[in-house]
Amino acid sequence: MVRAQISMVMVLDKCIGCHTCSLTCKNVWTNREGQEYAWWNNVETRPGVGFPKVWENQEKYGGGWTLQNGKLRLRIETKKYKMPSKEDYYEPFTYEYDKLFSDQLMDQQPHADPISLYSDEKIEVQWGPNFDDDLAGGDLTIPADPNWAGMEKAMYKEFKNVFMFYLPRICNHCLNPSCLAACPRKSIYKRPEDGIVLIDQTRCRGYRQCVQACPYKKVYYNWKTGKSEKCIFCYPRIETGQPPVCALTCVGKIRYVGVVLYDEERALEVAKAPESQLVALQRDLILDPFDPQVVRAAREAGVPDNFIEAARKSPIYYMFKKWEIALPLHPEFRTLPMVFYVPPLNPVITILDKNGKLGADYDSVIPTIDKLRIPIRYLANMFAAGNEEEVRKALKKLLAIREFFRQIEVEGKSKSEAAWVLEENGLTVQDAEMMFRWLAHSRDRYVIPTAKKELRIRVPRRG
Amino acid sequence: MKISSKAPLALTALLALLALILGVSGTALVTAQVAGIEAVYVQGDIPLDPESQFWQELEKAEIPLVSQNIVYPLAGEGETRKVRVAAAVNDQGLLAIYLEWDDPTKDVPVPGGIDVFPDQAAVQFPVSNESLPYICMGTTEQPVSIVLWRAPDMAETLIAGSAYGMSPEQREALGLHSVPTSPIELLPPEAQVWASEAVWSDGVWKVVIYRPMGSTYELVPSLTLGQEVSVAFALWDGSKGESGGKKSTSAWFTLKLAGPAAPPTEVTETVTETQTVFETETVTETRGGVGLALAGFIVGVLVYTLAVAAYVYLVKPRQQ
Repeated sequence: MVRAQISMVMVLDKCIGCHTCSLTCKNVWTNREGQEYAWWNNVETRPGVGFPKVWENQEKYGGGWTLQNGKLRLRIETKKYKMPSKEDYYEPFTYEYDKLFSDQLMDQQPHADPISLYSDEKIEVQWGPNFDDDLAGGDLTIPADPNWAGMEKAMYKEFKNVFMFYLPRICNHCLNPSCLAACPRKSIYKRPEDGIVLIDQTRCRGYRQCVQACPYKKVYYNWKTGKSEKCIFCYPRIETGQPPVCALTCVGKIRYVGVVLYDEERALEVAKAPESQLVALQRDLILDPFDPQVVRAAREAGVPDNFIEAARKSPIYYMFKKWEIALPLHPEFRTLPMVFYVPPLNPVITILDKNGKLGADYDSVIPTIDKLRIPIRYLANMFAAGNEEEVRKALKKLLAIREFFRQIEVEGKSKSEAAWVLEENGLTVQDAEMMFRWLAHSRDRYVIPTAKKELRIRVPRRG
Repeated sequence: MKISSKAPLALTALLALLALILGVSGTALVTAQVAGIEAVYVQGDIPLDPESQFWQELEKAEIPLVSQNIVYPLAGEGETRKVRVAAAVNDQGLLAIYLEWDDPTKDVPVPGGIDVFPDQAAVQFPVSNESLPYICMGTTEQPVSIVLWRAPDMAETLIAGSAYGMSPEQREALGLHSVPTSPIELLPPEAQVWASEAVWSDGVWKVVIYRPMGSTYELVPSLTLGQEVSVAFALWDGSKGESGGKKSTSAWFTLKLAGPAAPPTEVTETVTETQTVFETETVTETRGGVGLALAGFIVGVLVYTLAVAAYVYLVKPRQQ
């Protein structure tokens, strides 16, 4: 069965860590009692522990799936895990702003103390959703980052002089969502028309098994309503062809939104793949929207024509499937996440020798990927279940397109003269121009088909 | 040698069979052990304060509960709990049930309590008294009416099992969503008959839940004085992260709603009483039929067990 999935790519090199996405998301969706601590969208600094603290450590939280004798099992079914607590998130706070205006005249400047949003009392702020922003708290928080796995301890100490990057996160609207599987009341569903994963607020009774089962900790319990909530991919906006608020307001224009067609029947089998093949096989699930057979199957499955049309112009299709420069976040959780990341290159170390020639660290004209400042292993742990080759492939292509345009702009070469750089990395001039338009000019970032309610796919009623 | 090696096997088989019988007929047997719950008749108001002398002095039935172990998610390690139950009815048509159980931690929702699970208790009634519904929250044919109490002081009237036995039109007429939202549904505001008063002190929850006995709503059973109804109980210990299916449940027990002891003198009241007695008789008859059937079944299984045991112990060894 061919299904359409609305999806997002975030180009991490362009993220400036301004948190505008988080704040606009909060203002639109979670600016209310019960969800004070919830950040449907948040931005983390890496290396770091993220939000909630060390969410990637499933030994602690028990999220996602685990493979047992060739079968997928929810990790929460295998052992008893503790529910994430206020300490794992934070105690939301504001400041006594009124005091700045109403305080008595004193020698000292008036100051506004932090007050808890829960108790309205003064609190000592201990932690926040971005407390380790820009590597703050370095030696304490950074070694706890689970993505160091397989790397030398010595590296941890060096990182702060060498690299950091931002990681914005929303719900991944997975193809094999563990939150959905964990709900005993079947309150969570994946919309058949566009794959958005939603919690039915009339069914939810706040058992919070989804909170535990989501390996990305993107389901938040609302203590006021007693029900759980999560990122809704701004579906009221999506349905009218508008980008989600986080994407619309992104200052760095790092977010790309589009549709991909995929083979629903094979999803479960791919979720059981060996770790090293998870990315490749997930890519394989995405279907070619230009293939007449795929188009026919999609129409038969009730995918509207405007979705098929959008899939052909989808930046996600090109970046994840065709060019292989985008990668899923932690595919080893086996939920088949459908938000992708173009891994960061920054900063490229340029080493010229005495004669102004490129040094030995260059692979033809492109620097050897392993000499980049961000350890490949680190990125591979984060975006490819440890498969370094996937990361190398993506970064090489990103470097190739830079080198291609450098040769044209700086050395004054023609496109055909510079094309060999692309060809070495499996790209064409046409690919490079599309990539340039998208990545550098940030044009046509959103290709969102409007919802065809009259053609809505109906799923059988559930018990 | 042969006999001694077979003896433990036979014993195990016997025990297993006994366990099976106990499991299948748990209702009847347990009801036989615990005398059941007697709702005392009160002239005038029933004190609703759980700590009042009235409730503290009433004799309570001790109901055993075990961890739910049929559907995922399981409550974890199996354990036995007890809830102490008393009940009262009055001349104004109020039914009050007193529940008391040990819980060293008071778990109530608090601002920011994202990992807090409130303590909960529930009492389940058959919607119709014609036969006893499946103990695990009823079935489509035999729904159950549930009152769910949630700490500190919330009582919800729910329906379980009915969801799929009705057409969308019937459901809408009853104020429910036309498509069931879940197997256990919150009834509309006009059917929220239960209220509660609760106190937690010194590691004990004391909860009084009460409702008017009469009901005009189809999915809330109407109760009458002198009637016997079946009830089952459930408890959730919030400190153990219990919610939903993670709970401890009891078997079915009988709750007898007492009527006025002395015969009334006024003519009008006599009429009322006659009606009550008539209804009681009808109900008892129906229940008697089920009881007989169950008893017959149990006797049958017992005879079968004895026969198997006799065969294993007496006939088999001789043959060898």
